[in-house]
Amino acid sequence: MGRERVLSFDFVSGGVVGSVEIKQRNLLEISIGNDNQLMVREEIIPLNKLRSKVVAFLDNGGAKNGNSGFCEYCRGQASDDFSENPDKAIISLVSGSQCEYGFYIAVQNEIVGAYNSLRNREALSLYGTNYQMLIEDYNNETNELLKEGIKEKIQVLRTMYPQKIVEPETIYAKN
Amino acid sequence: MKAIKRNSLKKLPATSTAALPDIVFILLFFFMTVATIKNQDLRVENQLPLASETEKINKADRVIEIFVGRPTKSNQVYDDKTVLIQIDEHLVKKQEVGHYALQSLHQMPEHLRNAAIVAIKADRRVPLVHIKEIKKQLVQVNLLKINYTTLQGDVFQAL
Repeated sequence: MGRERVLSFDFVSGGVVGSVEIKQRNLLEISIGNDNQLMVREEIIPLNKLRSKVVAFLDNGGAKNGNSGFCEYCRGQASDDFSENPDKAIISLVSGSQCEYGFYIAVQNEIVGAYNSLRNREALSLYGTNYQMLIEDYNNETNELLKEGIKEKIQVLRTMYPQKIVEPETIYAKN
Repeated sequence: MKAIKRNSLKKLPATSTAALPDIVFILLFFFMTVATIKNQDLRVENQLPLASETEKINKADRVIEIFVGRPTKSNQVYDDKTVLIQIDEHLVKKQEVGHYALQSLHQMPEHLRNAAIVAIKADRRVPLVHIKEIKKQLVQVNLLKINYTTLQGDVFQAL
């Protein structure tokens, strides 16, 4: 059951109307119901399963070796269901208006946690430290030159796993 | 030799405590002048959510705080179903969030205004719709750097 289908979305951003096409496999749709239930791709899952699911989606590396967009550092299953590479992977988070703020934060926390764990892994193999440590060092460093160096490392990790989280909202057309 | 011997036999005189009140008063006046009164009186319940994947913001000078929550027990004017929004000293309506946020932005020194961050400090039991509306208001006044303030902790513990 591949998800090669291309979805087309219209959007309004800053008063500009546009349209974007995303392959179904590159989109992970997460929704939070009004009764604090969590649904990922039409399947209700408990919160503690979310992080591993997001990691599997981001780190899938579905693009074939040699093709454009092949992800060398990904260690996922390369399944047809999940993203081609982390750069294309987009997470869509829809939340019900009556869900609890605390639960919403918990979901956000797990999504960000998934990104962090992947960035940590790469930071460990590239620089021998972890991502959150780098951020902390960056904030505490006073030497401008060293600060620049840390910033560069952070940028590298952020381009490896860029955070692409959208919170779409339904806009009603005025007819 | 004799003189030294006589001195060592003498008892030490008691330490003079005459300067003690002076020191105490100097300390007292020092703290009185240095301390500022934090005149923020929180009028909403504010039990922040827990999160583990957090970042610290060390730059408190550029943060605009928005408190969201149900009224505190002492606040009998509102029934406990309503959700209140507090910016600085004021309890504001949803539609006024943008206005008051801009007001606190203007109290900031000019060079920090571009880097201003809005911190939403909301009670964990507030329905999300209120947060969404606040965000919408903030976007309208072009305050786009928004963060959610949380306590450091395990998310599963709070659920």
